[in-house]
Amino acid sequence: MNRFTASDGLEVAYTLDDYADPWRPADTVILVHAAMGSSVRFYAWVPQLARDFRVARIDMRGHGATRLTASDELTVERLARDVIELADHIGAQRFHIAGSSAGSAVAAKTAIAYPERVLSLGAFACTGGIRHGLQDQSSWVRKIGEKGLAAFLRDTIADRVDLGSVQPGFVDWFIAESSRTPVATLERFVPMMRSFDFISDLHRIRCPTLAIAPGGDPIHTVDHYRALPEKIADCEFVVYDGLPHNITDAVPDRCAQDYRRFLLKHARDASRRPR
Amino acid sequence: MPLSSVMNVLTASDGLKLGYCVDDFTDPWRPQETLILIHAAMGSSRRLYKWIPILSRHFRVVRPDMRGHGETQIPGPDQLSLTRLSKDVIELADHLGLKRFHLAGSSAGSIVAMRTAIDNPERVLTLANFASTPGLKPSNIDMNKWVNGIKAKGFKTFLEETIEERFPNAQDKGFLKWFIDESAKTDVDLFARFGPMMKEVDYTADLHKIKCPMLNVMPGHDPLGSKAQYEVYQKHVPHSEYIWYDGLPHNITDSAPERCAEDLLRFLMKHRIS
Repeated sequence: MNRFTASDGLEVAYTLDDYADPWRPADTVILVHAAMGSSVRFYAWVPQLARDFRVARIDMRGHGATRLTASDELTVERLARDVIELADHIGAQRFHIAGSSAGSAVAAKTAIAYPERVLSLGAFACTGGIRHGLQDQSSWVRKIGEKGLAAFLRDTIADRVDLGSVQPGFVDWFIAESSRTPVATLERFVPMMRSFDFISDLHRIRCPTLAIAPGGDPIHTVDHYRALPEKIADCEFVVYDGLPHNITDAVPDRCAQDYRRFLLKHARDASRRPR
Repeated sequence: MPLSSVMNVLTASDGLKLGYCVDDFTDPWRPQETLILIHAAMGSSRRLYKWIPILSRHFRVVRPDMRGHGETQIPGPDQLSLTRLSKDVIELADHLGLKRFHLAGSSAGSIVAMRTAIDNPERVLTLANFASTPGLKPSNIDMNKWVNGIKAKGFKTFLEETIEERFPNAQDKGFLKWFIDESAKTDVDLFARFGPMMKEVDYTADLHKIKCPMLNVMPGHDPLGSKAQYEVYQKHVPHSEYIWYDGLPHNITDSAPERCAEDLLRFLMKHRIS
């Protein structure tokens, strides 16, 4: 785990994985995890991506190894700025960015606010804002407050992963890993995300975009997810039929393989592109 | 800032500080199996970076730097022997809490790996040998010529003059330069001890003690080792598997790293215990 100091003084944690040939330039990819997640949750993606790209995984404010006190700013604008400051810190003038769920909102915000920095956008389980979904996420916070995060996740796990197809042990690990998120973070993070509506800004995303949507998600319909290909000029849209919300955790290798194919197409070093 | 793997340090039982890195992208909820992967002479763990994305999703991969190489300290006059190099592997496994592990090596690293498997059969689950005879005594390497050449010209010039023999028809000049720069980091005096030590070694008579599954991946056109020299395992380790890389000279683990890693992965998946 590495750290840098954000411009407002907060220490932000990230990991960097790089198995690219040292003698030629490799583009940087920044991965942004979901709410209640951390950089750890992308571990399975790294071997797919890091042979051709430098892969940085950020821990968002209040998540993983990045702390958040009551006086620290928590806004989507600030989270996008953290991404930019991470890119500055690791010397990536331009970079590819991808996010999962709430992380995809941060990734999209980064692409909208800093178009000159973002080479391409990977949007996994991304709508134009979670308020457009089928569930009132405010009730999540209340339930988490009542019974704790682990019990809340266990009650609602079928919204997130297909219990018929995940491996034994995965669910326990997923819940244990997610429950490390402080409730105090979620009490601020979830309402903040719920008030962030960027559907009217999606058309400002000009970079190549890959949007991958879960096709059987109790939290959002495929039509919600279709906002991206409808409003973004250069957007590939893929639906994973039948899967609930957390595709990036339940089928990480499939996500990473599809993302790798997209990235190689848009890598600046043409020698990496498939012939 | 290329090649991200973080170096860890272990102090061996004789006080020498050993560098190693661990790359692990396996599912955390599944039983974990570990592969220890040992680089060649004049190399370091860094030379095996291309293998990691292929192997580390399925196995935890530990890459030590052998004594005198990479980030590991240069051993004192009494601190370098094949027995000691093999003991380092066991001490690293102990340090990581590994009762049993998979083991693979490239060239001189494979000499260490095979010796470790012979002496510690209860610890080694599988053994993969890339491009090595059992010690350099039964090989065609003229070690005196190498050592004298390196002492006279320095590593860089020696390697530049012989690079065509290692990588004939190599297209990627950036790779060749990187290979030379990386190898030239090796301490000349250390190599003048390490190479001749390996040249003294021949443990053909012990090979029958290898009972674990064994894979031999061999260069098919190697001036440093003839086909007959590389076929010795067929006789003494009859259950061992062979894969020949036709037409390739000695440095297959550098010239065809992805192919090596994929063949190793197939072998490991076949013999994984969990």
